[in-house]
Formats: sequence, C-alpha cells, structure tokens
Amino acid sequence: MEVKTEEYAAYFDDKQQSVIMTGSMRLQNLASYEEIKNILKEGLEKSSTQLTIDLRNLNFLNSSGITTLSLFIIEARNKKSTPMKVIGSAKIAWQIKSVLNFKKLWNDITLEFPDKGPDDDLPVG
Amino acid sequence: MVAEIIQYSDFKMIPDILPPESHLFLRLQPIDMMSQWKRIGMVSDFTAEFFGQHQNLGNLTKNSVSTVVNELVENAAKFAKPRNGLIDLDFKFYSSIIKIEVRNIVSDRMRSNFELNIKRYLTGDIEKMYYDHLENLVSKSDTSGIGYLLMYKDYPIRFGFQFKRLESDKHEVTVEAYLNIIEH
Repeated sequence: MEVKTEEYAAYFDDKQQSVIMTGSMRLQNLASYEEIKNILKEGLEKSSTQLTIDLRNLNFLNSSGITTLSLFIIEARNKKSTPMKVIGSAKIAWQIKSVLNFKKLWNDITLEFPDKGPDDDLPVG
Repeated sequence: MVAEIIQYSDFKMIPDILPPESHLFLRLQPIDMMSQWKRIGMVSDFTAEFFGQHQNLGNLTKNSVSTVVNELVENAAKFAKPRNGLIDLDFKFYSSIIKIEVRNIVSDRMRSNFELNIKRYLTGDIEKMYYDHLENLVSKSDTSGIGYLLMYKDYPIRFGFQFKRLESDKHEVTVEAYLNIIEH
C-alpha cells in the first residue's frame, strides 16, 4: 500500500521493514489520516523483528498526524506487538520536539537521529 | 450595551503601542479554509518565510513558526462559524518574539468548550494532560484535540486569550501566541 500526493507520501518498504513518510502532512482531521494509519498497520503486520518508522524527510506533521502516530504506538504497545524504531531528523524542529514524546508512550521504542550534530542537544534513547 | 469581555493568561503581554520591527496582517474566510484546507499550510509556510527572510531566522526556527501558525489557524478555521465572520491574523515581530494574534467568531457552544479547556490548561499539569488525552483517545474516534496541549508542552510560547460576547450565539475570540524564537 502506498499514498502519494503533491505534498506528501507514505509507503511500506518490505525489504527494510520500514514505513517511510515524507513531505508535509497537514491533513484535516484524524479520519483523513486513516490511509496513513493503514500503512503503519500493514508495516507492523509484515515486520517480523522490528518495524522502523522513518520520518527523516517529513518536514511537517500537524497535531492530527502526531495524534495518529501516537495512537498507533499506544495500540501496538497494548497488543505487545513487534518492537519499533523511529528515525527522525535533528534538523527539523517539530521532530526534535514531538518525536521524543513517542518514547514516553512506549518505553520500548528506539529513537534515532542519525544527523544529530555535537551542538544538537537531543536526548535519544 | 457594553460588550462583555473576559481575558485569560498573558493577554496584551506586549502592549499594542509598542512598535514591532515587522508587521504582517492577513484576513481569511473560515469556509474557504475548510474547503481549501491546503491553504492553511501555505499561509503558515509563507508567514515563516516572510519573517525568516527579514530576520534571517534559521530553518529550525522557521519550522517552529510554520508549525505553530498552522496549529492556530487550523483551530481557528475548525471552530469558527463557517459562514459568519472572518479569521484575522496579525503577526508582529519584536526582536526575540513573534506575536501571533488570531481572531475569529464562534458560537456559544464553541466558546464554552474553548474557555473550559483554557481553564484546564492554566491550572493543570500540561504534561500529564497531554499523555492522558492520548491514552483516552484510543477507545474513541474523536477529534484529535491535542493542538494547544502540544504547543503548551513542546514550544516556548506564552498565550493570552480574550472572549468578547457580540450578540446571541456570537462571540469574538482572540488568541495571542508569543513565540520565543531565540529558545528552541
């Protein structure tokens, strides 16, 4: 499954066991994110060891999108699903602020910011 | 009749008489924003670029400005009376702060809900409210409702709010967001 518009894209990469989200996602409400949530669910079902959610090229995600990801994480945690890793960018403000919140929802999530520089004050676990 | 006015928190933290370094005013129609949703993102990105260009703000700050403006305008559009009134956006730049003022017209019910939420934000534990809200949403397919909690929790912002009753079922709501652009 894949979603692709002029503003954003989301797809599951089977080989890397990764859901990759890119662009600027500012959809109108939770219902509008249903397709994105389905891609995440598909990713979780098909990932045998760990699902990676790669947000590095997602420049914007509004609060409805952050809620969608958060609810997906809570649901996976409640079902004791496959562990997850979230890869973010230390160069995108909303990610520095909001991606860290995901770990507080589920402590087993691994966060990675591969482009984190020595001056970026970013606790990563 | 004198309009009933109620203010909360840091309303007019920076008084209007203080001249800003940059000033931008935009007027939007709620029904237009709801039917052409992408325009909210365009307005947010434009605002960030406008101030970023003049003040040479870095990409991190521009991303924060665009994110905050987007949340404020999304909320203003969603909760405004769709065919009644306008959304006015008044942006002022003061060396280390961007003041984002958003004004719209709402119904009795929307005012009451928003006012109740503001009182909760001002007296409660924002961090706890944020996570409790998400945990409680799991069993519902409700609206997200996390925008203000997210801004309060994660961004260096101070808010001010004003409610003015205009007539029956018609209230002018003004939100002031003072975004510190030095702190990230």
